[in-house]
Amino acid sequence: MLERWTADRVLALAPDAASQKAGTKLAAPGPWTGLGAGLIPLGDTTGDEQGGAPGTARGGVWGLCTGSGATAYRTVVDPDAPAWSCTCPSRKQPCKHALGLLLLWSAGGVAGDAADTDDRGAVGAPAWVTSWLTARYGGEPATARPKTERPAGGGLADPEAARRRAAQKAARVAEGVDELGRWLTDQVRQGLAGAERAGYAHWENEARSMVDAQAPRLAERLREAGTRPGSGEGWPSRLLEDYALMWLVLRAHDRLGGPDDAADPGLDGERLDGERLDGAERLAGLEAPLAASLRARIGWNVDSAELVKRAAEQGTAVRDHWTVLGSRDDEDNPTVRRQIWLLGERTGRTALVLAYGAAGQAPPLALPVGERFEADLVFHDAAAPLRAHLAERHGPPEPADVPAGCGAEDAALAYADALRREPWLDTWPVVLADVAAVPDVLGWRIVALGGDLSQDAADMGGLPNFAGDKGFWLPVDRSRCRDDALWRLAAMSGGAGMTVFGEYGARGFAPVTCWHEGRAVPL
Amino acid sequence: MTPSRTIPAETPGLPSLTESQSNGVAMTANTEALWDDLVSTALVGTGKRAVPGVDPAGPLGAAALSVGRADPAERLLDLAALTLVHRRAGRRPGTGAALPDRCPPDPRPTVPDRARVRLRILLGGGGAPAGRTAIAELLPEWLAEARARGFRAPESELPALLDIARAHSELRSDVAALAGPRGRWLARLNPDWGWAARVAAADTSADPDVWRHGLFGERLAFLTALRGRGPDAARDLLEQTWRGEPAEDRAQFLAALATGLSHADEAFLETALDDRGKAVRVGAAALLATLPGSAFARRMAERALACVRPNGTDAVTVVPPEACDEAMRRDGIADKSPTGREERAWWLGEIVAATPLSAWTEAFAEPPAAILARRLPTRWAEDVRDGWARAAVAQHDTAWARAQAGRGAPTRLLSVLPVDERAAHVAAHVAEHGLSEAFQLLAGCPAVWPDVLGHAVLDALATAARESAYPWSYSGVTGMAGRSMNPGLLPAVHTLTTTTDDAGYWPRVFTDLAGTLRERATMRAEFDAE
Repeated sequence: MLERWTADRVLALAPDAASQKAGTKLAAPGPWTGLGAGLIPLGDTTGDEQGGAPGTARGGVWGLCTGSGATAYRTVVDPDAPAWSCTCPSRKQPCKHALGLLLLWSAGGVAGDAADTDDRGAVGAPAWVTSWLTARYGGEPATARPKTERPAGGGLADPEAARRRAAQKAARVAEGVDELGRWLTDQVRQGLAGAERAGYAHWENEARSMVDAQAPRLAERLREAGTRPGSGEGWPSRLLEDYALMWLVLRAHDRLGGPDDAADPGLDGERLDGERLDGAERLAGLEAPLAASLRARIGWNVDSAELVKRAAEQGTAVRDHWTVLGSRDDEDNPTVRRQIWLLGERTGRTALVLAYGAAGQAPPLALPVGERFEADLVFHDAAAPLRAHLAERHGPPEPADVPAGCGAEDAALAYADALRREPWLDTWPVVLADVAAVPDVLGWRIVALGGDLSQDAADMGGLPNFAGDKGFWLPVDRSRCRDDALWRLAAMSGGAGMTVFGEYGARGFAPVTCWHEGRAVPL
Repeated sequence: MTPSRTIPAETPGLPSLTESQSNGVAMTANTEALWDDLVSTALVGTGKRAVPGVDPAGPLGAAALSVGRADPAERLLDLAALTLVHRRAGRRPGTGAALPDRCPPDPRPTVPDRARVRLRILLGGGGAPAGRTAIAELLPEWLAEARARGFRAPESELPALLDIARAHSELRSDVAALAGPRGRWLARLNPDWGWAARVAAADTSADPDVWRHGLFGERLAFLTALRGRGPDAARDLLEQTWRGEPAEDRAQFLAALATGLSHADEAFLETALDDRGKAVRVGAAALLATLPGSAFARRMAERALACVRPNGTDAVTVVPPEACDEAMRRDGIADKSPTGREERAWWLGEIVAATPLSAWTEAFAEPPAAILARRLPTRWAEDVRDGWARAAVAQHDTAWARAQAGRGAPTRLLSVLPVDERAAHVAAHVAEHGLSEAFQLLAGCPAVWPDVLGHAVLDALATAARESAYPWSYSGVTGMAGRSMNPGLLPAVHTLTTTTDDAGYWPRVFTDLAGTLRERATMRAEFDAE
């Protein structure tokens, strides 16, 4: 049975607003012929039963779209992956035809779903649809899994060579870190006052050497620091925060062991005796999870294939029903970085999944905000584990309840607790319950209404758990939150309490999603 | 009441902070002071200023003792890193924030999901607010349709709607109506949306309290509604606060008296002719001009008939006034034309426009068409005719409007005619003269064209295609046809796409037109779906 999508979910796939608009225009029967949807038995085109095993069927939606050209475009979508193919020359992915087809299907405008009741699936699927799906699923078993992240490059390469490369990288980073340390002490020795007159190149040059030293996250931080002197009153404090944070990372790096403890966390066995170590001894080295956090903070990439393989061996993948708390795209020219936050129903764990899209292309992973799905997640090693890899999904997304939230005090505590584990964290994801966004002469505030139950919460049988929070407020982190998002939040709340998901951290709260009349609304 | 707090005791990578579980508030104050000291030192440079000492008894004292760096710059960065984490971890929410006012409920249903998604796309999706300078061509119809069906706007899209209607005032009436009480609640918070507080509230309350405490838009709606029920009571209410209202508000309240206008209002309007605000004086004169038996109307008719008289059976004598006296000024005739028209011609036009049209039919003892058929002296003809046209519009006189409407007449005359008559008139014009001069006339037609007009335009387009006219000279008309034609005419458009054998652009024009009509049909259907 092919589960129909909501229009919101289709539009979340679009690479930009223009594509949404163009797709909507095509979401009418007019330009389409040969429409169909349903489960398609994969053909044994090669006679080889390896992939297209008997009885295997995959969902597909397809149609021919007549544009201005002479020949109609052939558009087919595999909604489970999701993946698409279209014969149009558009470089946008997915193209407007795929979006229009999905929108039409989501509105019930594509016949053929009825054929699902027939075991043989959609009988009328043309050959080009069947062969595309067969090519996707009918090849080697390894490609049967939809590619949401790049496959591991050379996963089976010579382990000795891999070790050598890791050692080389560690050495280059160590050199870079030494250089950055000297640079930072120079800044503080000569005084930050000069930074106001220094050009952007002052930070850019240092950032480039960090890129050369394979420490891209430190480079990001330096570029951010370069924007501080122009950021208005109080900039010296913000600049010193950036420098102090980098210094903290460098000092922690001093305690990092060799590359071996990254490859094999078991080597850190001496600390697994359960005894509490005093400060002096701790200086000797970092525990493995914290060392992994530090590496991520500096810019080591984690090989997700390796991660999945290890999780499979050790059984550490976390299977749960994950509610999609939020999804946010950051343009980092020319690529788009998509952050997707998930909340596990059984485990109560929050996870962050990242996906990247090239210029003009949507990131390959899109999940419907506010819905839940069952999946295996593999968390990256970290002292405060958050980043995760979506390993395997078990079933399509389905509607989920409004997530339980916490009060303003609890949000601050959650961040403090995360800092205790990873002191360089800037933010931590939290779901706030019963809050409203309030514009104020001093700026926006997220105000806790303290049990002043909204209609929504009352309908859901919510209880005023946060009565003690009345009048508590969090500042809004304006650097990561547009005006528009705050006004939308205010408009939906109308002064009543809402559940809002966002990131809380050093500069305040940045809302990402809110729940309005039981529906998740991305801000 | 507040949860007990654990201070991050171990800061990996740095000496541990074991002694720091002291009183929260004192700790924060202490740490803030230390941080400020560190910032001041860093600003000047450790080369010139000593690194601040840390109170060993303070929360960071023990940790700071283990910072044993000899280099002052390194010591400062160590202390800054310690303090940074301590500050971040110890930051607590503010307290005592005023709770926001609650917005009154809106009982109307919200639009179905598909219609909401459509609106979001029409508003530019999640794209940058910068994209809101141009409006999507189908947005006005979406708004009108949602309003007509009695929906409220989806709250999530209100900021975008209020922004777009701020820039496009033609959308304000629909947006304000759809936004309802939530829109006015937001207007109180955001000065950019102040316009929404000034549009007559569609969901007017019958509570007299609104008149005393409401926003301007709510008061205006209250007054208008009351005027419909009891014109005298409404006028009395307005007179009570009249002197205290700002001039801009007085002008709009006065205009609201057009509802239920009668001779009982004459005395009030006469005093308003002496108002301090120019807009109020002009408004009062305009209302008085529509009261045929008023003293004002008699004064104006006297002036008008002194200038314009019958001359024989087929001509008119015109003698414009020589001066604009005090009495004329009081009756709303300005000394100078704002567009620089010659003075005597300007005064003449103003007098004719402000004279009740019944004065002419009485003085000439003829129906409007006969008066209009008479010859006018060339020099003043334009001013007199323009004055009659303006009077017909202002006084909603269909007989005069009908008599004047026609080729070359001002388009606004059509606005006086009933919708079907207007469409039939324009359809006849299009059938006779084609589309080359029809744009303004079509723009004056109702948002959804009656089919007689739609067919006339399609026929004219088909003729143009047959004659291989340049399609781009019709792009304005085809664009408007897409927005205004009844989507039910889609089959007729389809026929054109298949029968137009021109290899050039025309088939494309009809395909695009069909596409727009199809999209509008889908858009309307989305309001029915659930």
